Amino acid sequence: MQIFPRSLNKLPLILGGVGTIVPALLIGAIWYYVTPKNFQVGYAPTQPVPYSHRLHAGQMGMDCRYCHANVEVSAKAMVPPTQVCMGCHAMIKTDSARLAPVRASWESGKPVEWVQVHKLPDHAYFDHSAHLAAGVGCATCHGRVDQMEVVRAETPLGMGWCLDCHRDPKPNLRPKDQITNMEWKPEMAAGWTAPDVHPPQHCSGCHR
Amino acid sequence: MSRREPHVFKKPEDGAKVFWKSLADKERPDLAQKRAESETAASAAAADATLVKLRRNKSGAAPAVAADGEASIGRRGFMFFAGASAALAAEGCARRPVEKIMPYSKAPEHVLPGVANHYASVRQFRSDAIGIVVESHEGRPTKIEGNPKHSSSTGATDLWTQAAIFELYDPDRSTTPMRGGRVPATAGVASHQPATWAELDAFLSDVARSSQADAGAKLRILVEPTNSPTFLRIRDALKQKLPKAVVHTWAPVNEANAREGANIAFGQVVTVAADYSKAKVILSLDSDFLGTEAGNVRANREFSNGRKLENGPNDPMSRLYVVEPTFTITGMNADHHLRLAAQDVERYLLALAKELGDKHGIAVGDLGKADSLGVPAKWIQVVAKELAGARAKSILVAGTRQPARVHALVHALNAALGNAGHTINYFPPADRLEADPTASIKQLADDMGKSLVGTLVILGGNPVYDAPADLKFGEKLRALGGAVHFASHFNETSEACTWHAPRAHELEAWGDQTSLDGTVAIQQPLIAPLFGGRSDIEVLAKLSGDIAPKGYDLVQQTVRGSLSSAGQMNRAWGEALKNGVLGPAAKAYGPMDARKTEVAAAFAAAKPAAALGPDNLEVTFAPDPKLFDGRYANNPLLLELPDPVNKVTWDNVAHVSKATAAALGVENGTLVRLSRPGAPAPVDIAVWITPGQADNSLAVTLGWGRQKAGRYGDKHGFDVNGLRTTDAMWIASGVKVAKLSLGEIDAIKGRFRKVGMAAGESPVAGRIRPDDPIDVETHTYKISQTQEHDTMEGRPVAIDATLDEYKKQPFFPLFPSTQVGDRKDLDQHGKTIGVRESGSPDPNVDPLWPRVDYSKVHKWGMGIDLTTCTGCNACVIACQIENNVPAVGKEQVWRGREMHWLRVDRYFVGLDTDNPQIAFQPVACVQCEEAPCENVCPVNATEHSPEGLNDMAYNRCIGTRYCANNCPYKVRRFNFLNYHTSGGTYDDVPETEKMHYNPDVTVRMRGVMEKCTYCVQRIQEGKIKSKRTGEPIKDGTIKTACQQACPAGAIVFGDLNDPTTAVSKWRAKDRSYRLLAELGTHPRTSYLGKIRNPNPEMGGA
Repeated sequence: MQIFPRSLNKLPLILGGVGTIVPALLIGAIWYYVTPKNFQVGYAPTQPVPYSHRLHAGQMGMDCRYCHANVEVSAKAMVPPTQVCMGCHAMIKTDSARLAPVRASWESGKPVEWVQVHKLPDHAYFDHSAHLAAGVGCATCHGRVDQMEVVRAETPLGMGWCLDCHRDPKPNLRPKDQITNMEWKPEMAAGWTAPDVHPPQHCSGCHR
Repeated sequence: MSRREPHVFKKPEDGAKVFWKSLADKERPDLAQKRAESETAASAAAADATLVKLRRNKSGAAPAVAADGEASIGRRGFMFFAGASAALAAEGCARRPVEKIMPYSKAPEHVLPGVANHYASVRQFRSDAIGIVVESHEGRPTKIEGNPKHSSSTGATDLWTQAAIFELYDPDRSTTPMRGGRVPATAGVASHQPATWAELDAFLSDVARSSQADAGAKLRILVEPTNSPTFLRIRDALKQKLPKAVVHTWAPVNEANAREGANIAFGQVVTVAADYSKAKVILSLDSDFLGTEAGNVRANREFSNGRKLENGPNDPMSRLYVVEPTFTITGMNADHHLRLAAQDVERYLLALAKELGDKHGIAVGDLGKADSLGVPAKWIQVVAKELAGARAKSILVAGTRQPARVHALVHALNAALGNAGHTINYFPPADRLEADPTASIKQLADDMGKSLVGTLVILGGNPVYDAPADLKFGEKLRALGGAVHFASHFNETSEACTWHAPRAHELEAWGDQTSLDGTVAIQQPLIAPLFGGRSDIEVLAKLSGDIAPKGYDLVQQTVRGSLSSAGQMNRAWGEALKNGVLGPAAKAYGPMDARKTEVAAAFAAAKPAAALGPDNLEVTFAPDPKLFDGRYANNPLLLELPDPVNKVTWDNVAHVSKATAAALGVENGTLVRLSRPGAPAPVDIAVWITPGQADNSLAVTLGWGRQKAGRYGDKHGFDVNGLRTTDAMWIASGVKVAKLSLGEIDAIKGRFRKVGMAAGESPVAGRIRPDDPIDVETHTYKISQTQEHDTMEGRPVAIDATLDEYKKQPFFPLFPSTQVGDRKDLDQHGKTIGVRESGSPDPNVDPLWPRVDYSKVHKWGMGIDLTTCTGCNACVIACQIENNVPAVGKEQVWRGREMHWLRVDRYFVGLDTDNPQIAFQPVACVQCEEAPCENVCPVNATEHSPEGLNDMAYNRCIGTRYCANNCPYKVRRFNFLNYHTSGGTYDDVPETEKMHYNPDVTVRMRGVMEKCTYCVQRIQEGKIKSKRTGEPIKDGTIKTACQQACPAGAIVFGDLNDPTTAVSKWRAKDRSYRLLAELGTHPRTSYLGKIRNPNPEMGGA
């Protein structure tokens, strides 16, 4: 007597197939979910002050280092103190409602609480000055900040991503006077050849 | 001389040198070997075994305790933690945590976020002051280094200066003024309530006003001895304003004997600054000048300069004789060490002076009869001959403990030997008017007893804990109507006062300090007082009528007053802050003749001491080599630092000699009661049999057994102040010892902390086993000691020779060669460095994988000179502060889990258990080029850098501990628990304590292996700076923390590829060797063999 219909003969095959593909997809999805590619890229939190890099760095063409003044000498690029904002905004747009938190900070002495966008884990020690000294441009890691209304993370900042460049830095180097040039492209420096740099690929280069 | 034999260990009968770490080790080497094996085989198994033993102990003795004490993780506990961690993990995955960036509103000048600033300041140590340079990260001081421009520092520091950072951030510092209400019914018991500064100010103003009315007749001020010109200026002004007010002085460790000694000899008080680098012969009479005496940092530097043997065996090398009752750091560095009861040191000196006068014509007057009872004749004849042969090139130095007449006679002998002006200089003291602290506090206590005191203002110190016991200071203070105590902590004294107020830390307040040679330095604050504390000068100025004195103005006034014209002020002030010194050292007094009759009279007036015996024992007090007089008692780094002599952590013990222990029937850890007629309170303490201890003499250290020190320091060790009375401040004779009965032991149990973690009873029950401080089987006190940890299984590791042996055999640390014929030896650059009979210590077999070429990059290496290392432990604390290394607590040390990346091994050498020699050996990771640890890591968490550093990636480590098991040097440390916390999560690290972390180094968590990295953060900083500026890294610009702290200059670090660096030169020296290189590890750290300079005429003495 035939209890099961004939079509069930394919069931083991289907189960086998599904049983492999679905878990694989699931693992793949979770895997991707926890990578910096997912967690980091595209992160664009709302900031307490709707500061526009597009306006300041893009349209007005201010150099990055006007505000991030330490970037050449310190590990930290430094988010500018309120003082720097007020350097201009004591005279420009003095009654703008959007600048109210800046003025409040200036008067109270309390910091503006910016939300960190580019975050490395605590056990990774990144040094801006070393990368600038080697000739890595701002845009290489931060993207076209001059086109961003709200700063968003463009790159994963994961260890694999870092090592891609540390293993082969030349494509990401540029002349040192072009570091902050957001529009720089390799074609723009025809006669220039990238210097020989040896970025660390060992643990203590970044972890200590 | 111990020549290295690769695999054959000679027996002592065949003339091999014997190294041992403890008496047990020496007597039963087979047991030691066994223990070592089990230790290295499986540290986890060993820990489990002790756990099992513990359980059995507990249930056997006290079943009631066992019920709740039996608290290892059970099923429920496991489920609780598993659930909690799952919840935490789930939460962590939600999305990235939002973090804020908070820039300054108005950026301070000169502060670049991410770049450390350095400020020069100064720190008092006894009658000396050590110039410091403090590293500050965005206004947060994190590390103290020495100031190279300051004569008392010369760029180095001692361990207390290193540990001071933790003091600043101590979570138990007092945060607010406290007012104590007297409860009449319970007569003098005060219950303190927080008060405001305004209320305290009102009280102080009242005191100032009422004092003005009666010229201060009822006002007393108790201060610690000071070197501060500003403090003295204000004090003198106060005395003029309030002529009847009295300023008393008290510190349990003071220079009273030395000052009085100078007074006898010269008719005036002087400070002594000896230059040990110029001396050929040094005789220390119970003086720990390398450890706890004033000027210790400078003494270390100069002493090692006189013993460096920079150019090989023919360089001059000084010789150190030490006569003392117990081993101190100085004694352990002696070429000849005579153990002599402290009261007999005087007798020895008299005999020596007589010998010098009779045989060598160096007369210091008629000193009466000199008996040299029990002292080997050679110690008198040979030492006298040697001193006489080194006129103007010797130093005699007497210790704090010795009475004034000994200091006076030492002055007389130094003068007669022509040392003054050459090896010894005399300088004016910072405070000419300083009273003898013992007499001063006795006067105060007497006046308090007679109700002559209205208001007592105490600036710092802790007299209730450390005043002489016969004064009953605490009782009298409790009865006093108005007493204010300014102190860093709400301690025993604060409790007895009606008012308490926070006192500013030295890193928080303006001030100034004079060092031994009269150099004045400005104490520059690094941070505003964390809890609004006030400095001594501010309080004193307020009492003298100033309304709101500011430390800055007060110091400026002093400096302005010291200048010849006001126009120089701005420049002088700026220079003083920049350089850390204000003007040059004071002018030394010329050679002074000692007043021989006065010196002789002092001896004639002294009563001869009765001979010691088991019924008339002597107890000697000394400042503790870790906690000093108790002021550092709440510093876990110092609490956990192994004692330099016996490697005891978290406790102090009474040292006894083997013979005395046998006579008393005591053993290690036995609790005894020391009592003495005249001393009001007997002292209960655990004894420890220590080689090198004089017979019939017990050595104890001050500063322990605090009951109100704070969360770390409470209830550790034994308070010995009960035996210390005004007539026996340093040496107490007539002491009787009785073993405590079981009932008595039970009665005092409450004084000691249950053996738990650093921060007391843990909130997370079950993780930390609360335990009995007394071993329930043997009834001995449990002592956590690192002495026998990290055993090297009998291999010769600390290699030493005498100077003569070194001359005969310059390559003594290396293996004797089996090859015939003279063989040229090449250094690492292929240059011939000598012809020696020894073979290469590296094995002939190549490693398993191809060797790496390091010639194109930096090849970092370290050199450690065992000859100049004095074992002072400054490097250990420096390493902990720099690298965020935690203290783990007494119980964890007991299980062998201490975290010190750098340890100082102490070996006893020789067959004589009573008079052994000592060898110190600092051991950190030696950065093997062929590292055994790397080969066994399953996850590549420890890997080689192209520069040859043995990198540790904490985030990769999964905690298998294979690497630690495979490390022949035993330098890897595992985080068995979250040691930075009090047992829980990182949220419970006190806020201020978080501030002391070095931001350039990861704070490690539980389950992670760690070890010395050669301060890789400093290497990276140096390399990045060189990249940025394009300038190559110069030798000496990158310094490791241990190297920078070392006062003896015994550590060098640099690039081995450059033959001109100091480390390359050291490595190429004849007496250089690499630890256990025969294993094929190719270590980067090399040691210079220890050279002793014994006098052949002394024979074995």
